[in-house]
Amino acid sequence: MATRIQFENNCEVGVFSKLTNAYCLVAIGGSENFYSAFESELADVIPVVKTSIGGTRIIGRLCVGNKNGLLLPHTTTDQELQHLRNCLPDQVVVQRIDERLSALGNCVACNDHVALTHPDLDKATEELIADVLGVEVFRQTIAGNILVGSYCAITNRGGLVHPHTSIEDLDELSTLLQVPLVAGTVNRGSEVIAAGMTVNDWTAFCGSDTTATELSVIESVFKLREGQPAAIVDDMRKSLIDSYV
Amino acid sequence: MLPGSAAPAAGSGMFVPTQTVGTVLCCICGVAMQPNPANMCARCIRARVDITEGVPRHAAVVYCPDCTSYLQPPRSWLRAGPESPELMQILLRRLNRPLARLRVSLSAAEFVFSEPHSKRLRLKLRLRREVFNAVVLEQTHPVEFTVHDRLCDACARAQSNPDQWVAVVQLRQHVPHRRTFLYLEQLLLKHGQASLALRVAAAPGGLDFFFGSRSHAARLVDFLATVAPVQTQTAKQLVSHDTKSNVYNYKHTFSVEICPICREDLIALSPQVSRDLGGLGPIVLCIKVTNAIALLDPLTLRVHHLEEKKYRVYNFKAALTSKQLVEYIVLDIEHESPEITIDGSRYQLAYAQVARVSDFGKNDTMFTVRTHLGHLLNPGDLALGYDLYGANLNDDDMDTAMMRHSLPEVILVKKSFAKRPRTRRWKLKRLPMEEDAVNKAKGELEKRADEYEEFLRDLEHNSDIRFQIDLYKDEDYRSEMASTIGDDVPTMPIEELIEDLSLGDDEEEDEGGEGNQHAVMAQSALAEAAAASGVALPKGPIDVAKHVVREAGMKGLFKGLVPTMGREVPGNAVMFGVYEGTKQYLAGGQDTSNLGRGSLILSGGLAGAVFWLSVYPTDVVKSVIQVDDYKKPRYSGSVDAFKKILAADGVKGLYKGFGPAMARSVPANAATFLAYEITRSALG
Repeated sequence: MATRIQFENNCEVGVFSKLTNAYCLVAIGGSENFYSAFESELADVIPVVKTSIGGTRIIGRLCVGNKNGLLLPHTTTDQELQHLRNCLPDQVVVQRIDERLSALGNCVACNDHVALTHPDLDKATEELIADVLGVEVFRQTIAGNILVGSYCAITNRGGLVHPHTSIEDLDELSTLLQVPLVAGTVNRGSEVIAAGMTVNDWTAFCGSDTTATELSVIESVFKLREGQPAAIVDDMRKSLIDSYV
Repeated sequence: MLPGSAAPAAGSGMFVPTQTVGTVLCCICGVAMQPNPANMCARCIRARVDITEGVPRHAAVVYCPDCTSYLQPPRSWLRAGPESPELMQILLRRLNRPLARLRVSLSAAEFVFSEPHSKRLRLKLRLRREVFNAVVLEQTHPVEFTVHDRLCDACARAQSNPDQWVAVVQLRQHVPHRRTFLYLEQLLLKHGQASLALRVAAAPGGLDFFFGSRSHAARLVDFLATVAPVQTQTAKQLVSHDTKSNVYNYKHTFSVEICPICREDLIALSPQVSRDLGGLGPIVLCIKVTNAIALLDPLTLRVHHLEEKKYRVYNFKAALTSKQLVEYIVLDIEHESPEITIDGSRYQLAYAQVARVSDFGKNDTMFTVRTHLGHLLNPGDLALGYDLYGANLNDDDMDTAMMRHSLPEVILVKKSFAKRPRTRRWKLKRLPMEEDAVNKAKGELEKRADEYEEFLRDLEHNSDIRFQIDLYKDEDYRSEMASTIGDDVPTMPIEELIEDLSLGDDEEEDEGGEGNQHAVMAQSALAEAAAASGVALPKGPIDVAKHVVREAGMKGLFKGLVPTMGREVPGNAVMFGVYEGTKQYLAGGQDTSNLGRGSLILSGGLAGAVFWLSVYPTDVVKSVIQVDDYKKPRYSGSVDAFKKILAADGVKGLYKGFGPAMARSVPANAATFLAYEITRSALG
């Protein structure tokens, strides 16, 4: 299921939140609406943690993580690091890394198995990403943009990339990621995909400007409908009736 | 090409992967499309954004119907034709401000036709504006301008008082003839200098040019200063003023006086002037007047160019003017020196023995004088000259000169030709001029006509002057008169003539679309003559037929049908009648089948001869009509042609070329009939 939300009248929800299969980070906002939207969707399944990183609210662009770990930039304070370590499940490794490119969320895009990174990242950082997040790392660009983390959103089930991505690039990326990819937009034509939405294997949160068309593209490429009980029942019913008749 | 396959860029040796542009879904309607900066399909963008919002759809322009100009606010009036680029500019300036305010740029604009009486001007604009970041939208936008009629200030003033001049140029020359003005009139016409004048009026001793603006008058004065030796004085009179707004209205007067020395005047220089000019003269002829005066000493062939300022210092008068020229007959000529050229004119010193034409045959008064016209004069020629011997001179300088020098009795000025009234193949344009009361006086009209005729004759004789002005072909001129002109009388070469521009509707009606073209073309006669002399010869019968149809329409193919019928119908009747008659006469009865070949030849020949004898005049008429010029036919029809031929050459004219026709016709008809009979008998 994809949900349309807003952060303080701003549609760039991917900037203010980080959603993985094991946890969700949410920026500390003026109102509780943003947080409660995540809470109502995820509270039963994964922890939703309110935090800041380096004193800022743009947490989604500063950190990168998946179900295995969370990487934080060097600007993260000790308190924040401690708070996150306390709140996240024990199997999630939280690590602060000393990387010149501190907006890790913009520089790295990952699911639970593969990460695409900015071509200029340090060798040490690349190793850390591989170790902490437990992924294979590929240095890539998306439609000529080196900020791979900004222009794509990927999960274990699918991915949405910059609308200008050529067919050859799509093929190459989906070969690396081993998931189907599609070029698309969020927030009524915005091409900064990861800023406009945040997604994991069973749910997505998009900016409130996102149109129905975009939402349907997102739900289909990330296969968000199949996980729903109704879908399972539908599926079963079909096969049952099929064999029954 | 397969995706990712190597496609080395030419020259660089770099591997460049191919990039196939994919499709994304329009974020609004979900249609597949090429990605664009808005990621919205064009229809969705257009449906959402109207870039012409706020751009006016109606506007007004002010138009002066009198001078066809449009008001450019705040107060300038610009002349612009319908659908002209100037008009477009004026209209678009009315929209500039709203477009700039809306940050809309204009990428194209065109007129949509509207009837002039609808008082509407319609523009179709193409507007362009950035709607989202880097998304530029273009949209057409019609604008309708309402035309409000209002007279501009100048026209309003002219309407209230049509004769409102601001500046006048009073051109004067104090000489008894108007030759200078006739020449200046042609110069002004050629250079279009007087076109701005509100009115041109003939005044005693000169011309007045009235202008609506001082600068127009000043422009004419400047022009005059370049072509004639003139002295200018200006004056102005205050007409009205408004001290509060510091506006003063004046009437300006330019008094332009042309120096009274004309071409062919004889001048006696005072000893002082003669000395100043390096011992020139003392008797000199004025040979040319531009903005300087060229003085020729006819006895030594020295030429001096005297500028207008210098002339004002010496301020001499002409002792004898062209009115006082006397005609002489040249009895003998003896060349003294070879021909020389000074300033492009040729001279040759010679001794001429001359006698006055008035004396010739009455007494034996002869003069042997030196002349500069040795190259022109031959014994027996007539020449015009100043008779110093018999003249009643009233000039101090001439008296002094006569005392100090031994002057010749005659100064020959030019060769003269028999004056006979004649038509010219050329004509001049005239300035529309108002005549004053003095010029309308009795006898003045004939004097004017004489002067004009004299001027025209002068033009024919003097190619120098001719090159300065425009001569036009006279359409009414008929060339048959040309043969009556004597050989040595100078005429105008046709290459110098210009075809007059005349826009006539009447011509087009009977010639279809073609008339249009040749009426508008004002081309040199030379070019036309070259085209007419048959550079492009027709290539065959089809080509000729095409040419005729193109030039004269289908009507052209049937030209001369009536006289041809008139020839063929009675002609053939007579021919066959005579043929049968002759055969029966030779056979001595109705049965002619046993006649020999000789008899058949005789009958056929006789039939042919009789045929041509009876119809030859109609054939001549037909031929004349068929070769007549289709643009300007000389003959209005068959009857007219018949009458004209009869009037010009008599009955003989109707049988012109009869001999060769007979020589062709008799054997041809004999052979035709013989062949016909033989064939008929062979066929049974």
